Amino acid sequence: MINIKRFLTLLFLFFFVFNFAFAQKNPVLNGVLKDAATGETLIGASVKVSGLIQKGTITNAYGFYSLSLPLGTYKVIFSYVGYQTIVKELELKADIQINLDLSSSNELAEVVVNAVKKNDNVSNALMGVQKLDVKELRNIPVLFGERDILKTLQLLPGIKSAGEGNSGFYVRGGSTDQNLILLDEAPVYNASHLLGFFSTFNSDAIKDVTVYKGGMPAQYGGRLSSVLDIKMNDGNKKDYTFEGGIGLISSRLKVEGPFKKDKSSFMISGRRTYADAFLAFSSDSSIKNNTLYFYDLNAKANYQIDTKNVLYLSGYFGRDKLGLGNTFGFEWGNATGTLRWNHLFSNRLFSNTSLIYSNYNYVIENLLEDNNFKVNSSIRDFNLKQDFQYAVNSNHDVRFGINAIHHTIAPGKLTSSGNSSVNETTIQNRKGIELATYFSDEWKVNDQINIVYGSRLSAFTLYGPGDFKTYDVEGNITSSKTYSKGEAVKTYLNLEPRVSASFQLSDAKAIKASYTRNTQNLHLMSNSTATSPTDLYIMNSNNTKPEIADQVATGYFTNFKNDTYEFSAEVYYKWMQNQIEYRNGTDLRGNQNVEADLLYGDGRAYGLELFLKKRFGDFNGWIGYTLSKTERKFNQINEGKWFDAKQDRTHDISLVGIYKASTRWTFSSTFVYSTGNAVTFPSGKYQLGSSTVFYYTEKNAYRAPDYHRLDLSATLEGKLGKKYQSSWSFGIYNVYNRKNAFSIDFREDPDNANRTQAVRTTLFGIIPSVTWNFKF
Amino acid sequence: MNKNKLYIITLFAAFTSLFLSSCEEVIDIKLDQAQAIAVIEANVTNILEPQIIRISLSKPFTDDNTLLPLKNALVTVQEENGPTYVFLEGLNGNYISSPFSGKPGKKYTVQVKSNNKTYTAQSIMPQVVLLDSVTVTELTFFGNKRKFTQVNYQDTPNINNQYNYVLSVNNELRNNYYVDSDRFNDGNKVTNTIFSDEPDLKSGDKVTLDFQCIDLNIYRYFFSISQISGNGGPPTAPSNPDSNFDNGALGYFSAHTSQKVQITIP
Repeated sequence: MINIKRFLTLLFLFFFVFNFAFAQKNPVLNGVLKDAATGETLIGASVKVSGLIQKGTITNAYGFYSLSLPLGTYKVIFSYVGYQTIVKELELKADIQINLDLSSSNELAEVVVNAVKKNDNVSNALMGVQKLDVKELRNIPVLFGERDILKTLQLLPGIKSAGEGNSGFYVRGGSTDQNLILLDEAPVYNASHLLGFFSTFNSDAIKDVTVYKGGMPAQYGGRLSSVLDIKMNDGNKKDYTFEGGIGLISSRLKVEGPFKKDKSSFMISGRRTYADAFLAFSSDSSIKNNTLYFYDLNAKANYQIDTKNVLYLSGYFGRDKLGLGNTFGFEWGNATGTLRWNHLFSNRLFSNTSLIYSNYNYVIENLLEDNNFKVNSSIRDFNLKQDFQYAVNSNHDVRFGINAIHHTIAPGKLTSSGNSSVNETTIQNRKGIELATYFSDEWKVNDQINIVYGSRLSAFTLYGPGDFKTYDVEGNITSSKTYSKGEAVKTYLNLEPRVSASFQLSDAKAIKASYTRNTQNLHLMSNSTATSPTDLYIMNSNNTKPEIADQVATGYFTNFKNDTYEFSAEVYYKWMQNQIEYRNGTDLRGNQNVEADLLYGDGRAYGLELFLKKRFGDFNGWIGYTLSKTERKFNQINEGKWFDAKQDRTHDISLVGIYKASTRWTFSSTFVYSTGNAVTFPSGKYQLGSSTVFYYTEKNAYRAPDYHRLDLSATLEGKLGKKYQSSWSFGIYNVYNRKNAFSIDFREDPDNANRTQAVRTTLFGIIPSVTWNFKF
Repeated sequence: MNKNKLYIITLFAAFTSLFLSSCEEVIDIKLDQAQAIAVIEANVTNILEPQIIRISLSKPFTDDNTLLPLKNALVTVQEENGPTYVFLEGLNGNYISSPFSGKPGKKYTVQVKSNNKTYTAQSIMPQVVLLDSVTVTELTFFGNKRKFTQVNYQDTPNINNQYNYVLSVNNELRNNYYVDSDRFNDGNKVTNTIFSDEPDLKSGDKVTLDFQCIDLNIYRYFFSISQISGNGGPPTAPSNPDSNFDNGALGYFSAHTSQKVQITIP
């Protein structure tokens, strides 16, 4: 509890320093920007003023903006990609509030004609940030025609797929568990369905997707590599609408509408797969009785109490189920809930308070009578966030807050019934508290220089009750102590300084640089080559220290041809400490002493990312290229020398092209190419008993074959102008049927036991898809 | 507990039903040729019989799978506070002792001298857990009825027991390791199904089961191998299993108890 006091003291210190240092002489222009048709708040919309001074800001996650300006006359431009721009002239004599509804513009080209500068990407000090246009998603081809934000994200430079058709991703050399994935601020612990082939995010329910590959703002923390901040739709405040789709794999339905027009609204969106529906057609009862499906449900409601207070309640629930008749059952899923309260203390101080619940669990059931058992495992969070955004004056916008998360990990509870030979056991739960306080200041030094600097102070404490052991480097127990309930076992304190700066060379050219430190207190234990729903989370302990990453990055950003084209080049170098690997033969299942089998080491990653995007016009799209290196070093692996991490891919290219051929037809294609993963192949073999065992030399010294693939899609929109709209999406995945290696295995030749062979498994050949979407 | 075997079967079934386009193809891959390394398969059992230690050399991947014997090695096994047994070279890399039986609870040290190198390893023979019976069960997976053998025994309470079930069908050794431990069923009457690979067991097959109590190192050794091949759950990044031999030798030394039972599949 001492920690909480320390944080609060620091917090108030920051606040008062800034309050006094920058006396409030300037009036404030503030307000909320919304979509005219639906009443949805617009996130990241641009507000630019010119006049006495030039200044700009973007709306926050709740559509709110606040600008502190000297007295004077200004031209204010409100704009958002895909929306018509509004220009207002105003004489600023006192505080003023401007709330606006922006109309969606179907003709993207019009926006260009307005000749409004759309160069926030250049003028903003932040780097390593990318926003995904959710509307654009529907035109990008994907596997089985299932729109998927995580897979589209993988088409951006620096973000790599964790495998064929997999929604897991690696950012700048990090592993899949080093991404902080937030859905309405709630961390999502397992972001995939069906063993990784589909993400848990139903894009119907998603409003905004922002990914930070580096230079994370101080309000985010807890993971090393990236932040993926996903915001759900609030729900249409004007009208009831129904939207849905029927696809090969799943069907979706979304309902939204106002409880009270312009005041409160709701949104419910659901999706379910029906692969198992085909099983029911089988006459064989043993096939009929199998289950295989997932579903998810997003729901959100909001209520505007008055002009100063808004409440949001949102939730997600998703579940995967696999069952093999009466022998085996397996299910897993996430549940999250977020209650938020936006409050305007003044027109320059915006506050958001969030209460967040997040839970991930899995259940495995063995139904064989003699040794039936059931394994339950879960990770559960209660999370409180208090965030303040404060427009201090025309040069400073500060953000500060606190965050407290209580984690409970139940690694495994084994139960059995009847005359099962399995003993009931429970692996001790682990409880931990993460406390963090942060502060950042966006400082407009002059017209050329913008700096965002700040820091996050995080403390992690592991609590009893339980038996806590310490191990030596060999994995032998050196000490063991029993702690009582609430007794602190170990505390780690980390300061995470962060700074990003941009230097504006001209209107549309900038150089940026950043330094970021991130720490991570929760670690995912997965000793398999692919992520699995049964992967286990552990906390910091006497043995496991917080993972730490320091990243420096610099880049050149420019827009040209009237902001039609956007180009960026970024280089980064990242050092990682306290990375985790496993000893050979580690069994993560129901293992009370899993830490005895862990190895700790370092990582480093560096690379160059190039990105060229055509933003507007009938033909648009982007090219991304990444040249990178990712390595790890462990004393006990590879004789302590650096080795390539499995996600090390030297070259990675993605091409996305979208062509609007007519008002009804849109064609698009994506092409990806990457160097194969670093893999371990045998360099020899030997006989044990009657079987052949392979002999391995260096870890990850071989390369899987290069990966490449072309996808196409076409979307046919129904006739415009009707209340009822429908569209067809046709897609072809892997057009030229490239046999990409999902895995390469070595085995005895089944036809000649005296020989060995290498076998490549290809998961997806050419796959067509069709989806029908509707909206009314 | 073999639950991961089931897990794999489930996932495989799930994949095949959902993704019909998945396919396997034999490909050519250029692999390095590592230097030949000594491979020692050393076992000492509690049965009064000539004990056999097989020593060979590793080969390039592209060679055939015949054993490359390591010749002219000097092989001894010493019992803790007991005699030293000398093993003499026989055919095909086998080094054979005169008949002796290992004793549960005793520590054994094997020493192999070859080409100016000495390899040693130690193993403690676990106490005997009696095998009650071997039975046969039939399970259905996606419409296929498959027969599996089951071992039935009473686990010894309050100590860690590890088991290895070695299966021979019609006198042919099946090339899999079925290691098991009592982590989840300590002290219980246990019935464990051995999920053997194809070809399926059929009526009339003569199955010999060697029920072994093994020490923890050997359990981990075989568990590692089964993990790499995917038999112990999702395949892990491959590496060499940790051998209890020093000096870089591959293989293992296992002092284990052995009970052999033969049944005919009904």
